[in-house]
Amino acid sequence: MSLIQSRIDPRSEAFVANQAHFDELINTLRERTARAMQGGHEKLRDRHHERGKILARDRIERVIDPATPFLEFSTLAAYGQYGGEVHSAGIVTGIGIVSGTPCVLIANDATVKGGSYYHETVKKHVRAQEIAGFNRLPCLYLVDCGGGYLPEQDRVFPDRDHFGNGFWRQCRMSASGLPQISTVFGGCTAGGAYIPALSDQVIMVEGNARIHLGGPSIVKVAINEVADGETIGGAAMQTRVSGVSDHLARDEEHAMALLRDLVANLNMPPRLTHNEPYEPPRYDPEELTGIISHDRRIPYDVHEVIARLIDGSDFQAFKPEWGESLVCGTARIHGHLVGILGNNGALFSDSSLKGAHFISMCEQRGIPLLFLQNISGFMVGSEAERGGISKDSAKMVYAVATASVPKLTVVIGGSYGAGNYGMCGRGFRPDFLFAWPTAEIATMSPDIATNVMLELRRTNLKLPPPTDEELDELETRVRDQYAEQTDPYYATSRLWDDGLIEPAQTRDILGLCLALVTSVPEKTNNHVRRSPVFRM
Amino acid sequence: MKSFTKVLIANRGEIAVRLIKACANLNLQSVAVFSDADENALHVQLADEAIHIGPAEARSSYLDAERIIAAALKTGAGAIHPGYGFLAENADFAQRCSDAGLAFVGPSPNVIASMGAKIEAKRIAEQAGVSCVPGYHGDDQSDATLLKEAERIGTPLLIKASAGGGGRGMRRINDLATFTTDLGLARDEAKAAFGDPAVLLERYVTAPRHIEVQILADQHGNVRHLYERDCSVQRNYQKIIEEAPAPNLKPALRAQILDDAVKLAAAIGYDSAGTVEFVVDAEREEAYFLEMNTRLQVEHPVTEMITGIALAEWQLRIAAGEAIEFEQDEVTINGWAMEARVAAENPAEGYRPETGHITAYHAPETSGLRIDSGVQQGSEVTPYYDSMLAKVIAHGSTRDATIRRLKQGLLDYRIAGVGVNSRFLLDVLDLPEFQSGEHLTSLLANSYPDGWALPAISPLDRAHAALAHHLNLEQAGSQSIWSTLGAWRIGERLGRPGSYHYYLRSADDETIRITVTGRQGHYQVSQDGQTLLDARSASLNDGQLGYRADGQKHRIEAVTQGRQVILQTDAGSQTFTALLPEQVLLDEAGQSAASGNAVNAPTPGLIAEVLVKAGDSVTKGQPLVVLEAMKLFQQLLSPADGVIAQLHCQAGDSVNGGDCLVTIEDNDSD
Repeated sequence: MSLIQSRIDPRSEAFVANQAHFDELINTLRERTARAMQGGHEKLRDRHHERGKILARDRIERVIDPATPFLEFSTLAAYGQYGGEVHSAGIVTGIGIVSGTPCVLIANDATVKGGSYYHETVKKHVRAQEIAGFNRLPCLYLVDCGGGYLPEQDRVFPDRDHFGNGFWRQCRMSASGLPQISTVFGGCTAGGAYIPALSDQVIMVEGNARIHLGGPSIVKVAINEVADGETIGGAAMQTRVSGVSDHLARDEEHAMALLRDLVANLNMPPRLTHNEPYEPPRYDPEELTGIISHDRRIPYDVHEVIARLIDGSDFQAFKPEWGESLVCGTARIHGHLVGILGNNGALFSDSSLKGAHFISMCEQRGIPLLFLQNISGFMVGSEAERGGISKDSAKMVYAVATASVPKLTVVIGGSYGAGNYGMCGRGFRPDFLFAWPTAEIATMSPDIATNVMLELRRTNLKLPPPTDEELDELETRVRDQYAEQTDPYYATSRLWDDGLIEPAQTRDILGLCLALVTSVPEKTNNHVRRSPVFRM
Repeated sequence: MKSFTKVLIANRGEIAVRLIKACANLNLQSVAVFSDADENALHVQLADEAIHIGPAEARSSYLDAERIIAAALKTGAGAIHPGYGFLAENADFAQRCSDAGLAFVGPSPNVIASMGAKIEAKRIAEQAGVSCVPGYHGDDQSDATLLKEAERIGTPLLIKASAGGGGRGMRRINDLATFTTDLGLARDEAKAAFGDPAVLLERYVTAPRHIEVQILADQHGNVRHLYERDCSVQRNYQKIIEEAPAPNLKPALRAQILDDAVKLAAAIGYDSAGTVEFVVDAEREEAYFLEMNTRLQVEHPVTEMITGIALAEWQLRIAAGEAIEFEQDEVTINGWAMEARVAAENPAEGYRPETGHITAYHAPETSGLRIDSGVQQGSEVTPYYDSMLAKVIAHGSTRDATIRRLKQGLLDYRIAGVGVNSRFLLDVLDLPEFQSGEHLTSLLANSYPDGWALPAISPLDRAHAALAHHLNLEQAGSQSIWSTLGAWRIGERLGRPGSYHYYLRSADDETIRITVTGRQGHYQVSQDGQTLLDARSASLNDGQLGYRADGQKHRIEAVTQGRQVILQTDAGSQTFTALLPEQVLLDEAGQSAASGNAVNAPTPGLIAEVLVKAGDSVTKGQPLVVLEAMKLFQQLLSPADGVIAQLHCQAGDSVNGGDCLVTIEDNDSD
């Protein structure tokens, strides 16, 4: 037992000021999230209900088991884009327990632009499938969509990770033994039709659900046949005549009951059945918002953050007196053992080597990794370079990139430059990546970026020497660009993370993720370790 | 004057327990008596000694004077305390005690006798200057005299048995035209009940309250009153709820009845604890002497609580010859006290007595609350004796505070295994007239003209059942965080908590969808969007659902077994089953999902037989048509209850798969 002793005084001026500042950030997050979760405009929601339809998130509430969590991803996807109207990118994704089996649920929100697929919709859909694949979870598609958003077809359809990727994944997952089940609530045309068509089993709701490669207008144009949607692809026809669908549901409630019944017989290996008993943190996670300095120039000790995330605030530090700008150690979160890396300043050679050492050790022992990112980057300067920072930082990046244990990342502050790589940013494919409203992801901080750009302009010999006005204009432009793009809502809107979360939610979310990643049947104890733990 | 060190308590139940404690407080030895039915009763366990006095029937045990006196002599008791009921107001028994050299804890036999005879009691009271109900108490029992007196008193009036009590042999006359007939019936009843056809006449008080004065007098001529009690909440002349002091009693009227009570006690040389009962006419604001009870009353604790004077103990001290050591002006009222009688009876079925074995028992121990109980866990409630098991008595600074405390006390006082009337008592405490203290003795008859009804399964009961099941799922699931976190949601902190819709089936086979929203102690339970319950600090422990709502704590017996919840409700113990959607919606869903009220040919074939004709009533599952296909006969069944609307086929027809053969209309479509 080595308990973290908090040195925080919740009555101190700094704490109160920090918390007041953070509360503002949280209020903003809640307002924006609440709006996104409402889905489409009230009129559209009313019309949805009038058709006997249930909203996407309410459908999920009816599919998952009673008194169990639902871990929703990227609620603020597409936030601020397309005039701010494509709430949650028109799709709800997440993990929930259905008839005792953890599943990924992918639910179109037909009240948002008819549930059509924007760039972020595709990205969110594919990301949910990726999570299902990593974690060996069946996929339940609650389909209610009109296919790709045609005005953006170049950002939706052609590329490797576009719409086709979702179908490719559906086929591959089915082949790998992960059930794919579609419940169709509305019209599925063209691309949308392939979600159910490529599913192992299909349920359709009578009256509302339709599946057709071409709807009435396309049919009219293509072959001059005049027929209504119900005749071309209605639920009764697809279930009784074509056999495209396997079950005809009277209504949505019936459809979801059928779905639950199908999932009950998937014969997936039992998971999430066991946990060691554990204690809550000694320090209240609600205090996290008072620890994070509202002034980024004032550092805080990441131990204080760790103490509020881990069981009993019990932390076994790794090399606590060496390479101190990277805090490493093992602890448990909701009973799950995890190796934690947190930043207390820039990464130097020693802290990079310490990180590499720690990661490779966790890899050998099969301990999942948790990265708490608040990193300005690897150290620069002649001293650092003479000390070999370029190869030492590379060692940490190697270790992160090749570790096969589950990796979770939470961006709690800055995530700049190569620090983002060493601390397992999105490019290094952590199993889950969440961010706090204090996150900033960019190549470098706005200050440094501005100076770099000004210096480049000054030293540009192809152009005449810059005027002060030109430099001022450049400075403003670069600052504005970085300010816009390092905003955490800019990041989460573009699916650079799996969601913006509140600090006090972090422990529970990590617990939910750890329970999943540590119970993946294929991942436990069968990977071959090819190297010893190198001391560095 | 007889001093004694050992007291035989000639009673059972809560009063025996109360008196055993009083003896212990005075360092007196106590002897319990018991019948065959009470061998393991609480009073037998608590007394210093216990002696068997006969079979279960009271007549041959608790009412058998000879056996009781013999028991006292055998155990060396120097005194007998009769409690209330049984032999408490039996002058002959008091005399026999005295003859046997035993102190009788109560007044002298002649006082008991004179106050026991109603006519004589009134005469004495009138002589003492105590105002009585206008009436006739004469010995001349001729029809003519009684009719003449009746005319004098006026209607409405009552004919009562002279030797009566407890409402037996009592008749109300609204019209003198029926007087003679009613007189005959009243005499017959009086003779049957008391062996004496003598009757008395009294004005019937139209707005009656029952108010009584507690008297304590000693053998040295000291008489004190301990203020009054209001016992107007009565059913069939049985008190249900009593309180002290009386609400809304004018000071002058109170002074009058206190004075009258002391006068009467002094006039008859009273030397024990006794109660002088008055009927107070709330309209005329007049009080009339009703009768005197020469014993400790069931409701004595409310007086003990407001005065701080232990009546049961003083009764023993006075019997031992002690003088009262406090003056009248030292007796003061502190706050308010109220008692509710918890009885093993079913108020919804004419107060039918309930019997059984007490499987669980919990008496709250909170300040301001006193429970005088004759039972405990494991006690048997038999049909032989009075159904009252215990009294819950609350003391508070004001009447409102006392009512609240009494209600909480009744909620917290739990007896399982035998039905009790707590729910009824709580309902009575909530009656507006009672709450305002303006109730009359007619309160229950007027409030429940058709009798008090046990409430049906209420929406709140369903809410409790769903919540208990939900809590059980949170607790009894796997130890994984995916279970222990409950309905965790990313949006719960911004007003989008998780919820679940249970299909809750009750024993009456009604299935209603109940939604439970929230987790970790705070839940909203709703039905069709209507909130039924907003429960905080909700927990399920040891078969108890506990929560806080509207600032009040609630506890409900709720035992969960798998999907089932056995819940203690106002409608008794009820079993609910929380079903998942697939357990409800997939029932027989297969073929009827879309076919509605039509029967279609499943395959091409030949109609072999049509079993119904248009207009026939059919029930779901009834064979309608026999189809022959591929040499097999297949019965096609009705998908619903209803009436045959149309037949589209007849025997011998060839049909295609999917052809509609029969359509059915709903029964209730008109």
